[in-house]
Amino acid sequence: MRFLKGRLFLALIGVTSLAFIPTEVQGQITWQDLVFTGGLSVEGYKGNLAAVTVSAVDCRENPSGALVCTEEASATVGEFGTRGGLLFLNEQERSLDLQFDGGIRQFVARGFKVRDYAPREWVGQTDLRYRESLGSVGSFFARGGLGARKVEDRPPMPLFIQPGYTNFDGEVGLLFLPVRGAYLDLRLFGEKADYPAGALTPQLDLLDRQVLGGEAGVAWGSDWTVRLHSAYRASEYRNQGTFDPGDPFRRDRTLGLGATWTIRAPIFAQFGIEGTRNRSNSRRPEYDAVSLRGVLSAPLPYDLTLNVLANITDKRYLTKTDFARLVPGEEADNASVVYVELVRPLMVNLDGALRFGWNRAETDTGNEYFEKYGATFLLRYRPWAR
Amino acid sequence: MIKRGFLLAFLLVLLSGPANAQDVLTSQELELEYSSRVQRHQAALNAWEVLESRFQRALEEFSVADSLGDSDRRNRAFTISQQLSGEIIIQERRVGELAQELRDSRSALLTALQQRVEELYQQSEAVADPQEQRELATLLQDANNRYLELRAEEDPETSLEPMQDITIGPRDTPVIIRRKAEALEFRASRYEAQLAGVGRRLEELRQDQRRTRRVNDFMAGLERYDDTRMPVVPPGSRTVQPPDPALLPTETDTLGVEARPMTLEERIASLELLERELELRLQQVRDKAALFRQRAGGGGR
Repeated sequence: MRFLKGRLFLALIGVTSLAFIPTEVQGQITWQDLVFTGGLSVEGYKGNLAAVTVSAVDCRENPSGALVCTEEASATVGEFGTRGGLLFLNEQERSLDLQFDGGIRQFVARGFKVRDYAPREWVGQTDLRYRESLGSVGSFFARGGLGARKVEDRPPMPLFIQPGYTNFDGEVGLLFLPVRGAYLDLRLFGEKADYPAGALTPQLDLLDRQVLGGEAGVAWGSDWTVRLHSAYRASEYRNQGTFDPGDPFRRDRTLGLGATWTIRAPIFAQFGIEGTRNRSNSRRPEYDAVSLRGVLSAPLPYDLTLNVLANITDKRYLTKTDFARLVPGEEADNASVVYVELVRPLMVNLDGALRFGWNRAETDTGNEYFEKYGATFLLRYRPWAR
Repeated sequence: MIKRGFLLAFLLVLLSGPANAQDVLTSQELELEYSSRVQRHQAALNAWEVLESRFQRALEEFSVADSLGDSDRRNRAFTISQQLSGEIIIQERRVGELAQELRDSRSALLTALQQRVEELYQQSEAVADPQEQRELATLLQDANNRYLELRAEEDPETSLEPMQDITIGPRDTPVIIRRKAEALEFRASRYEAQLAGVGRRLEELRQDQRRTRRVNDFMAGLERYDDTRMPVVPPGSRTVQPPDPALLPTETDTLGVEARPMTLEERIASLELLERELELRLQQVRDKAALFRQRAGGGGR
């Protein structure tokens, strides 16, 4: 896996370096977009959420002998990233493109009792996409993706950073011709995620999973679209035992049902609702959940643009317990994510953005929660924008 | 409670779907109408070219008569050229109107053909008899071919017709040269109008591009480090939505048989090229008109 991660980062660097090859040498390859991002953030973290995936705790005995653990911390964060797309083939009948995204984020944390941590995240993702016209039937599409993430000096709570992983995923699907204005789509997808465990974090292996699923959707409209979809996925966690020799590891079956409404002009707005019903051969992770999601991008005076993302999830487990359930492989019980950004062009090919974020995740027992809030200044540079 | 909420939400969404029923002519009627408009447009275009040609001849006649000192002949040629210039303006307007009617007619026919293809496709799916299936497949192929032919006849958005040159002849009098300057200025005004149209279209596309980029930048910045997926990335969350029908290569082509699947960036680049070409032509025509007026001994419009 380490080999794969190294290759992925090298591939990202390689793809990005194509940007500096003269256009005439690149032949038929077309750049869809290329953007470099640099940013600086100030963030605060609060909470006592017991995450199984975080092994270390930051506690120290006070003079009276009582154990005091960190419940608040802060960090200054620098980040650099790049993303873009290469169009290898763009014809009437078919198209082939590669999308890539990668970045590094360095934290300098304060407020911990044992020591000051300096975690660093490396992330990368590439997707190869193919579309083939099927004439009077519609279009076939396929996508294969490889993603990797590595975290160095991962800190204890309350500064929660997701663990590193390597992820392969892919999908094939059909988008049919409209029937009375309705577009039907069908697709099959699969995923395999590996969370490498270290000597001090063997529990990360519990997160390893493989997923197979399918989805059917129907969409209407052109200026604005409404899409209804239903998905089914089967997930296996081969490192999570069930203590049942006949059915030895955890298997989940998840049914999703959702609707998304999107408008693209004069503003971009997207609102979605999704219901999830998760059933398993292990009673612990069986739940029903509802998730609401909204994305808005609206122009403002003085060439400003307002971007907003809000995501709220409410989850209800089928069985009652007295302990916190934030265990590997599952989302938070109740998670809220809100980001607000103001962006303005500083030069023709340079945008400046100020982003505020707030995340909260909590358990349904024990008043355990994690909260993150912060402000980020970002510069986004497009070398070829005019 | 949650189930009831879902049902209600789905019903609301279903009920709010756009209506698609349209009262339109049959595709045969639209074909006839389209053929008729093609002929009318072509006839008007031919007449315009004849008028242009006559105008040029009248100018030459004026030039010759002037050099020979034949005042009657010169006056006749002058009168004819005056009449023709007025007719050319009217005819040009008429050609523009007929071209717009032709575009409307073509658009309606394209929509009807698209529906026809869909109907034939549904019928061919429904029938079990192999003979009938073959017949329907033949009809489907023919309708689809006609659709493609029509799409190919659409106006090129990003090209200019070759510019006819106007020069000063050795025997051109100042009056003739002024007339030629007027013709050039008339041409310049057409380029100005075209340039304004291209500018408006470019601005729309650039706004689309800015909006798309800013949404993508915003979402990519958050999803890059998994900040929106807490506390760990849930299973299957990497699976992206299927291609959005509204974002397919040609936004109006629902048959997947688009004629030119240009990206937004390519469309902007093509229009920028056209804009530069138009600006260059406009400058050349203005410079030439100014030079002609100077050669004719001055005088405004």
